[in-house]
Amino acid sequence: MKPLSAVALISVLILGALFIYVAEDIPDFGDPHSAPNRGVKLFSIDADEIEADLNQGVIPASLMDKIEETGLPLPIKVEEARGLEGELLEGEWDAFIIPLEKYYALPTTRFGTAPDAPKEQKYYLIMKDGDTLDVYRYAPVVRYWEEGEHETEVPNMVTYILADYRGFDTLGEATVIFTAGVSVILLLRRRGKMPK
Amino acid sequence: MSEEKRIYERDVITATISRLMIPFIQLFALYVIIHGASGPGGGFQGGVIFASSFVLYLVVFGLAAAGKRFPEGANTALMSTGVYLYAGVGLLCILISLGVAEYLNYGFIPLTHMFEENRALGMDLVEIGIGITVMAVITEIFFNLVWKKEEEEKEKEEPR
Amino acid sequence: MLSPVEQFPVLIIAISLLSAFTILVAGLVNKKSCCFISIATILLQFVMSIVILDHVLTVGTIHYWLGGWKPPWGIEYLVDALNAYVLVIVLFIALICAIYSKRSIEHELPHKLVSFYTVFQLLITGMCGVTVTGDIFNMYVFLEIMCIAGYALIASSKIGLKAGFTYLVMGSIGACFVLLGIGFLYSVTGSLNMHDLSLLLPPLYGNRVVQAAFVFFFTGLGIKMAFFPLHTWQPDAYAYAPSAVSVIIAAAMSKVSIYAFIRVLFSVYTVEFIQIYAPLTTVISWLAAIAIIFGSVYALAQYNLKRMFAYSSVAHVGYIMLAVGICTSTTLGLTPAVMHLLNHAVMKGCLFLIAGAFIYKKAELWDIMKFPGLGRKMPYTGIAFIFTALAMCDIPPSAGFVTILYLILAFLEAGQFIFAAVILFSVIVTFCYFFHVVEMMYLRVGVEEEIEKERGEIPMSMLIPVLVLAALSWIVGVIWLMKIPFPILDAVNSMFGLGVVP
Repeated sequence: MKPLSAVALISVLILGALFIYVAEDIPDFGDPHSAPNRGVKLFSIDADEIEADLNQGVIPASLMDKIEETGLPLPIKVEEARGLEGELLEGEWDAFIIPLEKYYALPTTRFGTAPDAPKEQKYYLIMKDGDTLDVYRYAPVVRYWEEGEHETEVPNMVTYILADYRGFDTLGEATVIFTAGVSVILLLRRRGKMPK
Repeated sequence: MSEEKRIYERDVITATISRLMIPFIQLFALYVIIHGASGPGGGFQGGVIFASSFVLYLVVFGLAAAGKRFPEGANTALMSTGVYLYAGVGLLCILISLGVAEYLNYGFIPLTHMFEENRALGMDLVEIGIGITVMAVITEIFFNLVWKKEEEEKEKEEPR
Repeated sequence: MLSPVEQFPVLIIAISLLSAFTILVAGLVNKKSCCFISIATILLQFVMSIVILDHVLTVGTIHYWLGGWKPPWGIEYLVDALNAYVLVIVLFIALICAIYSKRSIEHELPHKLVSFYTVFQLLITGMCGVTVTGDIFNMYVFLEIMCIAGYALIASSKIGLKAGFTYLVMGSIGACFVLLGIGFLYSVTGSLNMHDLSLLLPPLYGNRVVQAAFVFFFTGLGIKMAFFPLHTWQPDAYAYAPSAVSVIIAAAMSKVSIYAFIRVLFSVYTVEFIQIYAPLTTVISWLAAIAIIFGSVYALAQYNLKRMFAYSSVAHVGYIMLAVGICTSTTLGLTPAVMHLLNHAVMKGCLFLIAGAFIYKKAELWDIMKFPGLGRKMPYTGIAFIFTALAMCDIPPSAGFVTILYLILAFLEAGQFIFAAVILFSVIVTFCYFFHVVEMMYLRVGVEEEIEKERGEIPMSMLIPVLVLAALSWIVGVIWLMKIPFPILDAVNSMFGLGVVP
C-alpha cells in the first residue's frame, strides 16, 4: 500500500478509537435533562432541615456555604419551580440571582418601571432525589427560550440568539466571509478589465 | 454585438425565463432577509439567494454581459458597506449613549421609546448589513473564478 | 459605570475592522493611501494597548460584557496581565512590520497593494481578537479570521502558492480539532465562558469527554504554533512568503497561538488538572526537548536563509513549551515562558526583517552561498545582523541570555539536569549556524563568486525598523535583568496559582 494511504488509514483508526472511548460519556442528542439543555450538576446535599426552609422561601446557611465554595454567584431568593403552563412542580425549587445588567436605563420597558424592579434571573435548580437534594445550575438556553422573546421582541429564537445575545460572534463570521472575498481578490484578480 | 445575438438565438428559452425570473428571485431574497426576525431566514440566507440571481445571469448571458452589468468597483464597495453597517451599529451604541452602554448593546439606540423594540430594530439593521456583504462576496468569488477559467482557456487556444 | 479605558479592548478590534473595510474602499480611489491608513490605525491601536496595560497593572483586570448580557448568557472580555502583555507585543511587531512593508511590498507585489493591506489589517484584527477575549468560542472565531488571512498572505507571492496551500490544509484540520474540543466542553457543561468553565469543570475531570477535549485542543493549537511533530508546514511557509508577511507570521502569529494554548491550559483546565494527570507535563517536556534538538540540527543543514530561521523558530517554540512543561515543579512558574514570548518575537522579527532586506537588494540573496562580500556593501544591515545573531547566541546581557538563564535556574530547581544539557547543546548549535552566515558575509572576500550588487544600502523606511529591533533585542535583555516588568510576571503566576511547589 502507498505510504499516504497507510498514514490516512492509521489516523482514521486512531480517531475512531478515540470516539468510541469518548462515546460512553457524551450525553445523547436531544436529551432534555442533559447539561446543555437543562442544567449541569454542581453538588448533592442531605435533605434534613433544608426542605422545610426551602418551602418557606428561606435559603439555609449550609446551602449558601456550599455554593460559595464553588465560586458561583450567591442566590438571593428561592421559590417553588413552575412548569411550562405555570403549574407547581413537586420537589423542585428555583434560586434566583440579580445579573446587574444595564437593563433599565430607559423609562419604559416590558418589565415595569425602572430601578425599583431589578431583573431577577433564575440560576440554580434544586431537585429532590430520594433523601438528597441535587443542586444544578441552569443552562443558558433556558433563559433564551423562556424570556428571550420578551427581552428582544423577536419571535424567532435562532435570530435573537445569533444577533443579540451572541452578536459579536456573528460579526466575526461576517468578517470571515469578507476575508474570504478579499483573499480571492488578492490571489485571483487579473490586471485590466473584464473582457467586453 | 454579433456574438451576443448568437447567444440569444441559441438559448432563447433560458434567456427569456431568466429575464422573467431574476427580479422575482431578488424580491424573494429581500423578503428572506427582512423576515428573518419572524420566520426562518436572516442575513446569511437572504444574501446567498440574492447572489444566486447574479450567478444565474452570468451563466445564461456570459461573462462579458455580466461584467458590464455588475461592475467590479461597485461590488468591492458593497462588500465593505455591509460589514461597515454591522460594526458601525455596534460603535454607534457606544457613542450615542456616551460610554454608558457596551458595544452591540442595541437597546440604547433611541429609535423607539421601548428598550426591547430598540433591540429588535437593531437586529434588523445588522441582518441587512450581513445580507449585503454575503451577496457581494459570493458574486465576487464566482466572477473571479469564471474570469480566471476563461483566461486559461484562451491561453490554451493561442499556441494552437 | 464604565470608565473610558474599559471600552478600549473592544475599540481596538472595532477600529481595526473599520480600517480594513476603509482600505478596501479607499483603494478604489487612491492606491498609495492604503499603507498610510494601515500604519495610522496600528499606531492608534498600539497607544491604546499601552494604556490598557497600564490600567490592568494599577487598577485591576477589566471585565467587559459585550451586548450588555452577563456571562454565561453573553460574551465577556476579560483583560488581565497576560492578555495586555501579549497585546502590546503583537501590536508593536505589527507596527514595525507595517512601516517596513511600505517599500518591501511595493517591490514584491506592485499590483496587489490594496487587497494586501486589507488582508494584513484583518490578520491584525484576528490576532488582537484572540488575545483579549474571555469566551472560548469567540476565541475560535477570531482564530479563524487570523488563520484565513494568514493563508491568503502566504500564498500571495509568486512562489508561495504551494506552501500556502499546504498550510491551508493543515491549518484547517487544526481548526477543526479546536472546534471539536470546544463542542465537547459545551456538551458536558453547557457554558462557553472561560472563567465559568474553570468553575464547572473540576468535578468532571474524570469524565472521558473532558480528557478527549484536552487532547483535541493540544493537537489543534499544536498545529497552529508548529510544535514538533506538527511543524511540517512551517519551513516552506516561512521561506516562500513575501518578506513582510514572514516577519509578522513568525514573530506575532505563533506567539498568539502559544498564548491561546496557555490560556486553555491554565484558565479553562486549571492547575489541578495537570496535577491529577501528571504524565501530561512529562509528555509536553519531552516533545519540546525533541523539538529543540530537531530544530537546531536541521537549521544547521540549510542553505536557504529563511528556511534556516524557520527551523530555528521550531526550536524556540520548543523552548517555550519546555518552560510550560516544568512550570508546576518550580517556584518560577510561567516566568521563562512568558519572558521568551517577548524575547523571541523581537529577535526573530529582526532576523526576518534582515532576510527580507537581503532579498530586496537582489532576489537571489536567499542563498547563503551567494553572500560573500555582502558585509561591505550593506554595512548597517550587516551590523544589525551581527548584533541580533549575538543575541540569539545568548551572550549576556541580551534577551536570549535572559531566557536561558531563567530556564536553567528552573531546571536546577526542579532537578531535571537532562533538559539543561539539551539547552546547552542547542546554544552551541545555534552559535555554529550563525557563525556560518557571518563568516560568509564578512570573512570570505574574493574567494567564491561575488555577484554584482547594484543597489547600495536599503532605503531608510526599511532600515529604521531593522535598527530599532536589533537595538531592542539587547535593551529588552537589560530591562528583564533590571526586573522592571516583573509585576506582570507576578500577576500571571498568582492568577494561575503557580509558583508554589506542592
